[in-house]
Amino acid sequence: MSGFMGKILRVDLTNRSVTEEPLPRGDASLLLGGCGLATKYLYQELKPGIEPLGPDNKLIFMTGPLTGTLSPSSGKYNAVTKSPLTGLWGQSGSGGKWGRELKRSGYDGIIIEGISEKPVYLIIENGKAAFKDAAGLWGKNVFDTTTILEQQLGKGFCIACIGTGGENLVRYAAIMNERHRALGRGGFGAVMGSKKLKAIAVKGDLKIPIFDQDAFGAAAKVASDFISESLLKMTLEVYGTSMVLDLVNVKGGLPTRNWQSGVCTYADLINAPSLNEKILVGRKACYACPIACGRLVDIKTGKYAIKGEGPEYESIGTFGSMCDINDIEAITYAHILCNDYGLDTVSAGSTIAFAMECYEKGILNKKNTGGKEILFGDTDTMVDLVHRIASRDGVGDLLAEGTRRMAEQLGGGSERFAMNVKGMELPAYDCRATKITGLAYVTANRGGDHITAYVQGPTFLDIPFLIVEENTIDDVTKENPLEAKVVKNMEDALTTFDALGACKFMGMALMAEDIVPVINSATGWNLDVAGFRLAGERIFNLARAFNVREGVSRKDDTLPKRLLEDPLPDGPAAGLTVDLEPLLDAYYGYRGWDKQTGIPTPEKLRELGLDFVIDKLGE
Amino acid sequence: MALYPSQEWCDKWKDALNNDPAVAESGKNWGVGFKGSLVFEVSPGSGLEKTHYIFLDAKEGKCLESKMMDDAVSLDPGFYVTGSYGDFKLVVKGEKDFIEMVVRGALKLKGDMGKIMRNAKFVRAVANSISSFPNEYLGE
Ligand code: SF4
Repeated sequence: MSGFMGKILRVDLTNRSVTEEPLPRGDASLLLGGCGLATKYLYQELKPGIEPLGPDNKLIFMTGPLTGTLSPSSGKYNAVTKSPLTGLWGQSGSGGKWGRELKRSGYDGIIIEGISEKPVYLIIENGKAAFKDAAGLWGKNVFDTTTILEQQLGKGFCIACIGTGGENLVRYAAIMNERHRALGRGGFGAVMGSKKLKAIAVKGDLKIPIFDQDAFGAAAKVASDFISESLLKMTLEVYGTSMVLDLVNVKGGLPTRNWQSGVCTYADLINAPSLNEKILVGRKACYACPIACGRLVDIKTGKYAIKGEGPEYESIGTFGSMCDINDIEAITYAHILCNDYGLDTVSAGSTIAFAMECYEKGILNKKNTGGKEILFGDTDTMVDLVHRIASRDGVGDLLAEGTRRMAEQLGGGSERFAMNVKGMELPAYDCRATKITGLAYVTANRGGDHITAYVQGPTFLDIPFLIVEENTIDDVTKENPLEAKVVKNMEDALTTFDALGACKFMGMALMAEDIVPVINSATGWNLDVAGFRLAGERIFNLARAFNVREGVSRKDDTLPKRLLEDPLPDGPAAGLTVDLEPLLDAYYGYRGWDKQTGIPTPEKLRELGLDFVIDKLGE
Repeated sequence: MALYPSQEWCDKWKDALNNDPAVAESGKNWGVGFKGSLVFEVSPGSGLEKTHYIFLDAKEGKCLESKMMDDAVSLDPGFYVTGSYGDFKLVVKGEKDFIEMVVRGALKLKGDMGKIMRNAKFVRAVANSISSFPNEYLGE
């Protein structure tokens, strides 16, 4: 089957066995690959209610038909699991080169099941897979583990691994590939840690079959040229993702002091020009990406001296304004520490900000922090807490559970400002300033998340995604139910990118008409623009069905009380809260879901070819 | 040297645009099938006493018109840029990049951003041409 290697590797850690299975072609043509195909496996193979950190959970890595090809920005792979942070469908994508190496090693994906008795790692090279003892690696962090394996295995191997964060089952631990690229959100590192799987080393030089090489080359070049000429490249390459910080702040939506304000007075100390001027030494691209939004940074002196890949916008928002830290070097240090420990920076920074507010309000105090003061704006405390979270040391053990579980444990009304949706900590965009961002947070299947729909494009940045039809927002400060359709459209189109193995940023500069010929010439499919969008809608509904089977319904599609009831106190969005219900009603209508329950209707599921989930939802 | 803002300055900008190969090359598709005109609304401060408007019309890599106006009521441009005189001055002097100013929210750009996304090189070439000739400024 063109665009695919045709094989899935199944790894049973309990019995130490590896087997090959043919790629399910029918499923691939319906769900494309990546998160789509992986979700089908997860749905079918997991019983509802299983413990995410127990032997019944599975960890599924999946490339897409474009991964590793010459289509622009096609280094992406996806993973799904049952998330230990949310207890629901967990999904994450990562870039770099690991996805390409996995695919060229001969496998479209890997299904990991069971639990190993002892720490192991996995080597996959050109159609062969083997277990290796990882006793000597256990206890080491990401950078050391990667360096050791690179030295032991030789040139060309790409390493995805966990650090001590994953070993210690921090609920938002990440799996890191090539040191700084992350399957960040939702606790994939903890699942890998629970399975005692330290690393997966991949290498391959097998050819990816392409249906029509000439047509593919031509279509990929057209797409690549559009990106190279675009505002997207011009801005992301120069400033990285933190270019958005000022735009979010001028709209009064940069969460500051754990979302107590939407205005950050020292934004110019932590924004992209400041990062560029103070610490940037280079830029880095994922495989086949003409943009290079990765930041290479070097802090040469001082207590935060460190070198590596610098913070994305989300790390700056969470460790910066949310924690009230105005020091770009301290933020960068905390970010790189998270990469080394293998922690999701969004959840880590948000959780620390939450702890700071709990301390400010007396809910946390020296008695329950082990004598520690946790103050907003204190850089040393922030960095110290990152260390403690990774090792679950002292109060770090509490923070390692994430904001939802912390609030359940601490009480005192703290759930009101525990800034998560379905247990997933929110990213750095205050939806009181742009209302449909709030809708996108509650409908994202993996929990409070910004890149499922990336509505910040048309809302905070005033830049629509060309891949999506109808995605302009009239007045971002108003709840306009008609605009709920924008969230649906963006979720569907961007989910398709996760299934294809391409970077979602491409959706800003490419139209569906540009990417469809790339897909068809790679795979031999006859997808049209409508089919491209329908594939995303199908996957989105399948993930929702997974969550419904775990008990999710309309009651769970909600925001922290602070966003619903407490008006922003200052700035351009002063006085605003989110009136979610009218937006949700309209959204369910556009989705074809039952408005009372938020559950996909049998008609909708049938229309999408998802008949196999209908009975299960009935149960 | 022309005073920014003045009609003389607008004329010089038009000449600069029409003599710039980067504008001609990158603007080949600009204004084709959509309105390629822009209005710059410049608010007072830093020596400017009242709001002024500059209307710039461009198509297929050529500047068709560049004029200074007292209001923009009668205009229906494809794109609209707003900002303070102080911030515009930084761009006209070449001290700040137009796109950086937009990205930082100092200048606000409205219109079909999809067209800007696909024609960013042209936008940058137009912005670069602003600082390609010497000027005088109010308040200095
Ligand atoms: S835009 Fe950035 S994240 Fe996306 S593929 Fe390129 S370098 Fe990677």
